[in-house]
Amino acid sequence: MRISPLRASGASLLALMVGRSLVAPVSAQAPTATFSRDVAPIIHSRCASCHRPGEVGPFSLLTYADARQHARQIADVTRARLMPPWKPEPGKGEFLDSRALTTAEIDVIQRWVAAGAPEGDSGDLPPVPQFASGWQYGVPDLVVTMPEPYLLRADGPDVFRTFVLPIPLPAARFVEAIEFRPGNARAVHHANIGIDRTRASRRLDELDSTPGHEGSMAQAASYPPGHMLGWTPGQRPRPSPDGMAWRLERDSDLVAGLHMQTTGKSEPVQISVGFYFTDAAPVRAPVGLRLGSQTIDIPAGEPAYAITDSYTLPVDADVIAIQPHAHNLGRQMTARATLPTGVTMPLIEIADWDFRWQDVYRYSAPVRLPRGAVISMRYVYDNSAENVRNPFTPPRRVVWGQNTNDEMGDLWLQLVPSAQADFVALATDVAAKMRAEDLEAYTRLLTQEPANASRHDAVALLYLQGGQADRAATHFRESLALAPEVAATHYNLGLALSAQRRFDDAIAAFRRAVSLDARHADAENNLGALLHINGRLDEALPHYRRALALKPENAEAHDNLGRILSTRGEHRDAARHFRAALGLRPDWASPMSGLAWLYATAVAATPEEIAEAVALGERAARLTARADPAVLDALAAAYAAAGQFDQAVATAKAALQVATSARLPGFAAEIRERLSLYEGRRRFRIG
Amino acid sequence: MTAHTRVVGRCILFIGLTCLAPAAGRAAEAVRVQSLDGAPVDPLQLPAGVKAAVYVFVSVECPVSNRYAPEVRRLHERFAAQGVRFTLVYPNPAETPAAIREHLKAYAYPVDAVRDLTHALVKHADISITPEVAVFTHAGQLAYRGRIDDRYVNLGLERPAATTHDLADALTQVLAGTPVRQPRTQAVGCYVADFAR
Repeated sequence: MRISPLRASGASLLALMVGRSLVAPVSAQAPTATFSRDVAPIIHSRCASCHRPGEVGPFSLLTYADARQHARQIADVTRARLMPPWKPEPGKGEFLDSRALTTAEIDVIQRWVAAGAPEGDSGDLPPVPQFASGWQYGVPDLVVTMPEPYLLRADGPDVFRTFVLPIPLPAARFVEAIEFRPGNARAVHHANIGIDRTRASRRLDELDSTPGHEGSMAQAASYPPGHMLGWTPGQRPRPSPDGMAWRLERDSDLVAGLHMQTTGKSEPVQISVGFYFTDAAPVRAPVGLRLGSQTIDIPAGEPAYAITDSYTLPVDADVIAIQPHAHNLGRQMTARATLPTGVTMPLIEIADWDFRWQDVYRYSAPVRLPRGAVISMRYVYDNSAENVRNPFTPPRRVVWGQNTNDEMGDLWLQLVPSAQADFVALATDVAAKMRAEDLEAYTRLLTQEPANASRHDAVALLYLQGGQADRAATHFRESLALAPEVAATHYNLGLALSAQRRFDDAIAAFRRAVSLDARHADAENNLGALLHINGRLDEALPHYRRALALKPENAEAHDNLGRILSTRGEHRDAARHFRAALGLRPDWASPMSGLAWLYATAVAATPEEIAEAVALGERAARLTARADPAVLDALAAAYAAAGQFDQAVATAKAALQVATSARLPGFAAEIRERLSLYEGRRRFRIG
Repeated sequence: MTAHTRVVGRCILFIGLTCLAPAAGRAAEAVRVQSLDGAPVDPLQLPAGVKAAVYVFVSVECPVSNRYAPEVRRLHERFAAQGVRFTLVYPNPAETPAAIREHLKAYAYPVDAVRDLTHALVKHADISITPEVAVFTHAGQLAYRGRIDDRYVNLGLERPAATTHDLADALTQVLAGTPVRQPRTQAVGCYVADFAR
């Protein structure tokens, strides 16, 4: 039997439309409900966060006079469960901030309206809830606001537009929470929020003179890894779970993809986002898993097209949040987990999907799943004429794509491995699954538009991320044949060529990138790094300096520059840059070992500096699991400088072994020389 | 319904006599609404040259009603020159003349507005929703009552675009002197019954 979702939801439609007896029959014994005693508590707790002056709801419901003016409407929309908007079916996943009314609450409202919506004894009235005006999460540490409003037209279909807000941040910070303010709550229906560290979104924005750019977010704008940022009306701002702040880099743009609804008059829209920072670096990292299909292809008229997908967890993990996503043909969504024991647990079910009320749902308590659990999903789409939301009349074939008239089928899950040591295993496994699907989807799009340079770029980036640098380089070259003057493509080609160890070609590509874009800090750094690797230190130095002048928070450039200065004996400056790199990336072993080496080998090093060298070297060795010969070499030198020669010898031997097995004979020879010094209870000194 | 309408149509077209009001028994009641200045207005008394009158029942804070403002403007532009007069009717007594004037301005309504404090016209035309429209012929006959178009299926379900344009069709048929094929439809929006009197 085919499911016909529209017919299923037709029941509630009829309940709304038949005749004009709008109120459900009520049994004679049921006591009269009054506003003051029975209804106000429900409205205050469930409706008033949106339905109060200045908020998203189109009218206030705070007082009896307000609510009386909408009594029958309230009875209707609560009975049909249209309001408060809450799509997940009860009993299929327990979520935070659920707005769903209980059956008993709905019954109270029906009885109140059936009795003529009486006020009752105003002495019963609970106090009107007090809401903080403005920012609900508190005073933000940083607010970004659109410099000028976007003017939404008065009518016509919904508008999808993306706005790009530069984030003025002197240094990277950890973000505990963000709060989105729509500016004009009547017009903004929901927002997806991403971060773009490239300039891709800005360039799109600059194409026309009005704020923002058409359509949804550029590929370069994405969620912070493992996090899901967005806003729907009535959503309460929530901090990231404990220990899971996310890092916001300096020079990032906030990108907000807005779904706006016309209101009958032209509306100015000027969004703001407040950031709340924390000094606590994350101790756990979430992984974003996407299930679904990127190859949706629904024949015209098909009333029940289904997609399914599943994923087997490679490690124990918690599901923290879930976000289903489809466009206007989506009707039903189901997701569940099947444990290795065969027991199934519902993760979410949406029986009547409505694109307008999409949301990120956070579980009241993390859903613990063991390794081997299978997460599965099934979505059903209705592309028949009976689907009122069908964007095409008569129906047409609809395929996967990000435009609203295309269709999507994503189910995002925020996973946290139970043991943080499993993070890399989970993240790698998830990334491989998603990359394979993306590659299939974007290759299909490229086949449809072989002359579109950005289609080649998308496919090339996926190959690059998947370690297939040769295929990546091929597509970047095809992109450049179509659009030769794009600095970003030359830069990406440089990355692909570097990965193939074709250093001279890579140097040429990075040079082309900086000649096209004199402000391309990363291209400057990489150009320096390739020259550095080839031993051309004097040529490398000015590129690092330029990279840092353009982008002072470039940790890689600080570290690279520190290394050159260290080699040249400019110890004070070298130390300054290593410390800057560590300030930007506190857990990065490379500047730690750079600094350790500097102090361990300097003739004039103080006992405090030598002690720090040992501490830094030990920490760097731990962070790299004692598998980096340069780190072990620096630690050995630090031990020797501290007079701990036995440890110096043992560590140098370990370094030698790693260097030998990594086939670095030159480096191994250097280590062997130093080892004989330590065996003679002498330290290694420079200068 | 169809047969009844045909009689009305023939009455106007061929006989030219005064027609009976459609809701028999209420015919004798004088229907009065108020101008924004408080003056009584007979909404069924149409000046010479006005072939049909459209009363658009609206309310200041009903979002569906407001979203139709541009469509009402377009229909006014299209039909005004053909002798159709558009008037907004505010059936919520809580909406003051000042609030109404502000509303007219905000949504750029180029038409007159009246208040129906006693719901005289609401009852006469059997209106239950904002936005909902009533079309009267020059003879005071209710030729159409219901939705403007079918964009809204219910409060939670909206089409990307309307597929039937009920008010425009009704006006075209009234102007052509043919019976209105769908003289009654169900509007979607806010309940007039909720407006406390």
